[in-house]
Amino acid sequence: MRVIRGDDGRNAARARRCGIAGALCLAAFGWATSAAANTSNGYNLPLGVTEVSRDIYALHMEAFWICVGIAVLVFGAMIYSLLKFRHSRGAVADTTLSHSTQVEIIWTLVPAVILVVMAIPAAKLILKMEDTRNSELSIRVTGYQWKWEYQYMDAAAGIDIFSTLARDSNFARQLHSGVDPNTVPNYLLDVDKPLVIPSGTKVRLLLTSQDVIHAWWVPDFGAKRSAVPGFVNELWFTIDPGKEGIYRGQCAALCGRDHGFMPIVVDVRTPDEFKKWVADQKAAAQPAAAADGRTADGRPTDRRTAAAQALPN
Amino acid sequence: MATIEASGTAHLEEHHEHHGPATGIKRWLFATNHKDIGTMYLVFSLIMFFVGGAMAMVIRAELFKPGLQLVDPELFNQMTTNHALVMIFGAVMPAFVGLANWMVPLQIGAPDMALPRMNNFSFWILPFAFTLLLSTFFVPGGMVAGGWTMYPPLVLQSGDSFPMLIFAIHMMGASSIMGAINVIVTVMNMRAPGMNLLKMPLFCWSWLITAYLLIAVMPVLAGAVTMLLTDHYFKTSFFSAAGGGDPVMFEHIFWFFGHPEVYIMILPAFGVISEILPTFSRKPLFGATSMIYAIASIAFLSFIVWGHHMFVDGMPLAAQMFYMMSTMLIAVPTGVKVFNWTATMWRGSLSFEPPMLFALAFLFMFTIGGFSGVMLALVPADFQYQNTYFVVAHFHYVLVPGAVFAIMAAVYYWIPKWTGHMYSMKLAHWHFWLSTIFVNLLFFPQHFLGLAGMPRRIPDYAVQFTDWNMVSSIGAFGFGLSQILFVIVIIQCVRGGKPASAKVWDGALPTGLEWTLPSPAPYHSFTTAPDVK
Amino acid sequence: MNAVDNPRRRRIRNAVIGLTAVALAFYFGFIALAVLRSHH
Repeated sequence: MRVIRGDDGRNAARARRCGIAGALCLAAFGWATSAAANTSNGYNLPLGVTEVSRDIYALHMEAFWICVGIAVLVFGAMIYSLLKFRHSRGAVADTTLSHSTQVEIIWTLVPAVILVVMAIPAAKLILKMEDTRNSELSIRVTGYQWKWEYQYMDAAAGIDIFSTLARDSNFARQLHSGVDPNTVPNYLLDVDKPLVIPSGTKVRLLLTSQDVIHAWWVPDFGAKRSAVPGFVNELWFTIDPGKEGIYRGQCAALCGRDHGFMPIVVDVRTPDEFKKWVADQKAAAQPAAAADGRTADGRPTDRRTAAAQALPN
Repeated sequence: MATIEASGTAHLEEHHEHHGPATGIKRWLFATNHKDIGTMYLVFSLIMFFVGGAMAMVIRAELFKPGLQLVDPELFNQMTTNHALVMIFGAVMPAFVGLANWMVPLQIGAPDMALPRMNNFSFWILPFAFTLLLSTFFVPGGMVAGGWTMYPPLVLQSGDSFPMLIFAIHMMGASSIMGAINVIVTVMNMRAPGMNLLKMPLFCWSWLITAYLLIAVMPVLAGAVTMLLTDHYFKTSFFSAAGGGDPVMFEHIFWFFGHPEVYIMILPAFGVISEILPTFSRKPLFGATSMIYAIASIAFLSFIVWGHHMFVDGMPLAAQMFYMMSTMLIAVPTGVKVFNWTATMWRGSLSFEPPMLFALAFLFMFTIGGFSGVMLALVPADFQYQNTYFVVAHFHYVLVPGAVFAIMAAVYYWIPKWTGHMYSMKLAHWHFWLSTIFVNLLFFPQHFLGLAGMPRRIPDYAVQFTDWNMVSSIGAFGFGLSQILFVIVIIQCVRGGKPASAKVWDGALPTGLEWTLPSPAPYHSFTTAPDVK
Repeated sequence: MNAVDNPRRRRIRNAVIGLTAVALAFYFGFIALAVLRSHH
């Protein structure tokens, strides 16, 4: 592109003006996006509350800006051609311009270099995301049609939560319910019992499913992974201290009729509050666990689940 | 029989007797003429475009605002699943096969396809396959609702529609494979003397490579669904962990088919654009040889990138790296194509007839789809994008203003050659502008929805997604209605209109053997092989 | 008239047989791979 552009000064100037206008436009967009705190602003990825989610956001924006840059050049050249080389304005085709090995080598190599520039931070980030070592709290997440089960391990072992769509959302979402979804707080993004986790702690999820493939996803954590029946997938995140609060997500793999109605809600608390919550849960669960045939660490005595956990991935 | 002899021995027996078309229904049922079969493919594809489009309208109507107003979630899932199946296997693929039937013999100077009776068979399978597929709407349990990707174990929960879907897919696969074999043997054996491979038009080149992709991957899809069938009815457990299988293995096999499949839908589009841009730029295609190499490299790479569809399903680190790099590599030959098309227009003399307008829209909007494709290749970012509306926006940008616009460009380019009439330029312009405006209204906001966190394949959504969904739905209704204009233009053009000259685009620079024939192209053309300089 | 007499018809026939064999090889090949890959 650059070689051809070089032989027409006016074109270069026009492309520059175009580029400046585009950059201003997109800078405004960039400012708006950077102003977003945690959750999405409605048209871009959330910055999120984990280091990984911020890294993903940075990678996403880097890729976006590179694409914008290339778009300005390529679309600029196309639009320039559309305006300048019109038959109706008496443009005469230069039929000798049918190939140029030099130019073609350039526009093969330059994109290749740009791709390498994009791939390096991405590869580094993959390494970081895949490092599930030294987790401080493990939770087994099981997908069902259509709810999530959270079974705590480690210090919180014994706690077992089923998390289903909140009752008011579930009522409002029925066909012809007559309820305006706008009147339901956190419509479709609320559950009866959320997953509770501590901030500042490396939490590892072990995902599996009891029926079909589901996917656990909380955009603010930059965390999504499939829950595959018979296999265990791993996922980790560390919520920034000071970012305690409620975070929401949804199942991200078509899992049947009510795929759209099995949200994920995570209640992030400070480590102290979490400890207190664990103690409360254990106290409440003690008599119940003995009665419903669960083992001491809270795992169900279901053979398939146990077998699934033992299988290598 | 007559046609086979005519095709096989035309250069020996120049006085072979020619018959006009048979009359009535026999002409179509027993068609062996490549033009008749091409027409049937194109008409079939147009009908399926509206059937699949109607399903899309149901989807967009339900998503117009939050809450369920029109359909049950199960019916919604049936619509998304079958919208995809009908559009891919019923609309886009048959449209390109129809174009190949019409144009490959005309462009290489052959009297017909090499295997005219197999050609008849591969077309007539399709109406039966799609009758079977669409009739599942009336069986207990309704249509298959597990997504067109048919991932087990979910798809195994389907009702009676499940074996019907699989049989329909087997039939479509057989049809595609026969069509592909026909294209390959025609291109390799039926070229006029002097038409060597490097002189061959880009449309034929793109179809030759596409046909090889089809032969390699349609059997893989057939194998995958066969295994689903045996898992369901014959107690195998290919895809069930309980019996030692693996559901993710289905995804690997499916996407080994599925990724080349997306190039099956876009490579012939590349061929069409490479024909139209030079014509209306009045300038030869820039870097024609490297365009062929680019198509071939894309075809090769398409076989080694399938894993990028399943990054979140649990994949070894090395595999994630490999699929990311190989996927990004596809941007290089694709970039070469876009740059060469731009260079084709550079210092040209451009005019803006309807085919050119659609080709230009393709150029811009396919490139947008390419950009989001590169972003999706980045594994960490893909973890956020995967299964959201960002992906929906991405593949609809490459398939609708990409493949579908290329098909429309091809129809507007060649229909005067087919019918012998010019069409209403005014209506075609309206069709173009309305389609282009509404298609962007329809799909561009879906990027925002996906980034903001809306998963795909959901019938109802959280209220913060309302605005962009409304915009998208309005775009969808507008785009759907605009296509009625397309049908009007085609019907008018078939029934009459200003006679088209042999060259059709007299002021422009159409190249290729098809323009040496009168318009409409005679029922039997090139029974004597033309001279190719 | 005889298929073998005409070199072009012979080439077409051989190509069809070859391509069909490729298609069948992919079909059965992938099923065979899946069988081998299963922990049965």
